[in-house]
Amino acid sequence: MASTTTTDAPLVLEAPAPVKVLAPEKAAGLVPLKEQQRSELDAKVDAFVEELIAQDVNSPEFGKRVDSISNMGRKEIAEAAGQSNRFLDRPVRAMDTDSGVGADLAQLRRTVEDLDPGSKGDLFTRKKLFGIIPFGNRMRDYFDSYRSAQSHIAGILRSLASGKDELIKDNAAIDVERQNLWAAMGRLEQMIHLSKALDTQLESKALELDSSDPEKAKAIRETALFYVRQRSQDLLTQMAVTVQGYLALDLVKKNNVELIKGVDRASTTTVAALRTAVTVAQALTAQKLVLEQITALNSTTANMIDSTGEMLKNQTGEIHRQAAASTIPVETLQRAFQNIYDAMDAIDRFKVEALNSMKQTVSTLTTEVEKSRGYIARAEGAAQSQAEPFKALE
Amino acid sequence: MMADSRATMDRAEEILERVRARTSPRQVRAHRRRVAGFFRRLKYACLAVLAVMLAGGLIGSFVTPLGIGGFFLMLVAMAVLFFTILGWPRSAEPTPQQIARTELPMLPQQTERWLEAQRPALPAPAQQLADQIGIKLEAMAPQFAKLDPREPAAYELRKLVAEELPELVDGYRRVPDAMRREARNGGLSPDRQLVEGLRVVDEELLRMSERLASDDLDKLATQGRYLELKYRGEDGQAD
Repeated sequence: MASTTTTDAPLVLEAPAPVKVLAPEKAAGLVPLKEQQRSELDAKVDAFVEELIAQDVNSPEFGKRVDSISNMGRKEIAEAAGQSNRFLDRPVRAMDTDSGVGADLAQLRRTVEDLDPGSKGDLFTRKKLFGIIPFGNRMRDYFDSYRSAQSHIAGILRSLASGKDELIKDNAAIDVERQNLWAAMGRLEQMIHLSKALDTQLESKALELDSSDPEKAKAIRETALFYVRQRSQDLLTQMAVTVQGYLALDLVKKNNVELIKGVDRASTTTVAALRTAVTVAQALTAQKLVLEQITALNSTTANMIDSTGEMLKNQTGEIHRQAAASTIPVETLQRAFQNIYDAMDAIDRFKVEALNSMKQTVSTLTTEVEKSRGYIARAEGAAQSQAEPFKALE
Repeated sequence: MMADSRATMDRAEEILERVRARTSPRQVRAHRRRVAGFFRRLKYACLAVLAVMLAGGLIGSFVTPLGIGGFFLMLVAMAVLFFTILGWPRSAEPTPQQIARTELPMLPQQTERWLEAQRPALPAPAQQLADQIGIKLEAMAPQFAKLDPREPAAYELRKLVAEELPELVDGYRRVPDAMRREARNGGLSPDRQLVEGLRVVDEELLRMSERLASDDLDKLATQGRYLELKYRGEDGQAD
């Protein structure tokens, strides 16, 4: 009978590992490009290089085309930067101990501690007035305390449920944001592909021209190729930051999911303990302990979480049987309380670990974003309202 | 050769434009504006007549009896006021300087009116673009009405619509008529330059509108996803 009141296997909440720093060189190729996109982009590069080579080195047309290289990917970088910076603005609700879910859990713990049969001493001794005259019944008093606590507990559970909704909403926002980031990364990837193709093309053209037109070869190396390499670096840096932001959002989401699990478990174990108390009270004091809110709570918690809610329903019969048969039903009740503590301890442990990996992630991302900010500023300053020969495909 | 075919194209556009004019959104818009303007004037005219009537009544009962002459005088005043207000010439189109001072919610409308007034001076392809910009401005008006004037987006819009666009059009109008179709120094003709410039403005407006809408789009997508996550679970399957 030892495990009958535990809801199921012990709750293990795992804090996801922090997001590691991603080297810009490794950032490319994470978002696969379609074969068709590749060939389209390559065709664009070919056409551009052909046109550039055809121009006279000193003509304004040549200069214009070279300038447009420095403008390459400006929009894509700015867009991706705006989105990955937003991650840093996102308040990490899960980790906030002063409000929301954290505060509710702390409050629930205090209330539950007050009801814990373990903290009440021996409930089977008679209560005595001035320590001498027998007066009243400890057991009856103890179960009476549930009545006064029930609406308070109901309130806490309700706000836990709405806190959980906040977490789900957070995750929904993260899903949308990740979708946007994925699209932005796809566009960055295209620009990276473009700049790499330009790099190889220009390089080989310059080699070809070395013998026939050394002046043009030099101009290509010093202007066009220089700008292409600069832009490649910018694009790769931004890509690295964006990928990290993308992974960091996943981390926040996983944290939230774990926390939701924890909140669910804390709610169900609390309701289970209350229900056990109802049954045990009947067995011990022949007093019918009526907690009106329990039925309401049961249905809400069962709706909240299907798996644990289902278990809760199945347990009811079990508790009844136990409470009736057991010689020491108070132990059953104590175990029910132990379940609540276990759930809360798991959440606390999780929070410490998760907070740690969040901190690491945020600090790496902050430094990366700082780095990329310099590039963005340069790109912005380099080319305001210039022609853009290269745009990401839709 | 190139310039020739371009000139032919431009002339063809002009003819097309004349055909299009009767059913274009621009005409519809102009008509709607006229109707709205007429009803606004009618309202003011009626209010003025009522005010005269009220004033006459007050003077007649508290100061001095009006008599038959006074009554007729009042009627005449009413008629004069009514027709003056209805027939008052339309207020002049806003100048770029006025546009620059306009409050943000009124900005798209003011620019649209100004652009409308510039229309006859523009070449045919540019007229069409100007119409497109006008339509976009009108469609974006509710978006800009909600915008905080201190936001960078608001500043960008004001810059584009109240400074850069008028500067482009004014610059074109300063070029003598005879030189507008001639390509200069192997570059684009002023006509073409104007069209290209307007096209950039048009694209930029579209981009701004998209960016402003993206927040709302994200919010909607988030709410949809939230409902899915909450009531269907992670994998999106109904229980």
